[in-house]
Amino acid sequence: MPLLAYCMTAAALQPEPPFSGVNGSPVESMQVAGVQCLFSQVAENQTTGTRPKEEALAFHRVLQDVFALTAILPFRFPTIVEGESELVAFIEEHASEYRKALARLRDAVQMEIRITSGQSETRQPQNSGGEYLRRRLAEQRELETVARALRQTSAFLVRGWRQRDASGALRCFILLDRGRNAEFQTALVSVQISSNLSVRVSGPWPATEFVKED
Amino acid sequence: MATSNQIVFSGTDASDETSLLDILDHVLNAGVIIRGNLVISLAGVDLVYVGLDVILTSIETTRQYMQGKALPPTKKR
Repeated sequence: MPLLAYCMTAAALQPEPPFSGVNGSPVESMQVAGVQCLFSQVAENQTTGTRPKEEALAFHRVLQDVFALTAILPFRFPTIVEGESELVAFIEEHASEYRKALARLRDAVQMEIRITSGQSETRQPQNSGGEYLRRRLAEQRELETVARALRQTSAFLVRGWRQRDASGALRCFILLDRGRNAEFQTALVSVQISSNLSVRVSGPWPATEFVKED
Repeated sequence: MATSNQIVFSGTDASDETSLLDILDHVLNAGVIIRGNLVISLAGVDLVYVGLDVILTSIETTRQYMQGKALPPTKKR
């Protein structure tokens, strides 16, 4: 029977909560090579994807419930495998990497900061390619300056910081000790943000950006 | 959702549309990959396989639109 995989944890949840998953299917778990994997069965005649938003949110709720208890490595939604043997084979192949990541991230959460420039809203017609590139470079520098200020002001809390460009925005991923996200938010408030920028902070999320070590 | 200066803080519950986009972005775009296709049933008969990248592009575009940014220009011929 096909399985929908939710996430992996380091150990079985005790006591195992009565999670209800996507489409109301009960969430089950199994131990594979020292990794606990949570999944639910997908009936042969049940098609996942008919209500993508609702199913993605139900998937997210399971992750949230488990993440509230322990560190998780989530699967991307929707990860559907043909059966238990396929899931077991995949986890066995990567178990060493997952065990190490779950141990390293055991007490960690990830926050995300998205810094966006609002200049494109008032964008003037460009006279040349050179002008366009100069403006883009100036925008990029401004985003990076804000990211640096946010990083400096929260450095005393931060265990890890990674960032990447994303369509005119800068996405920063911050690794924190579990339970310190309120302190982190308070630290950020002191940073002055230029009126042409917007900064969104979300989390805590599972530390997916830090699964691979530097 | 709380705001301070120009900083907006949001949690991980789908309490508003931008938080919903954050959640969808995370469940679709973050985590371990075994396979990346979504199966959609149309009229209970046909199955359409939609590459995950198509969905991600849509979310990113929607997010930009919601933030008031211009959509990418179409190619001039």
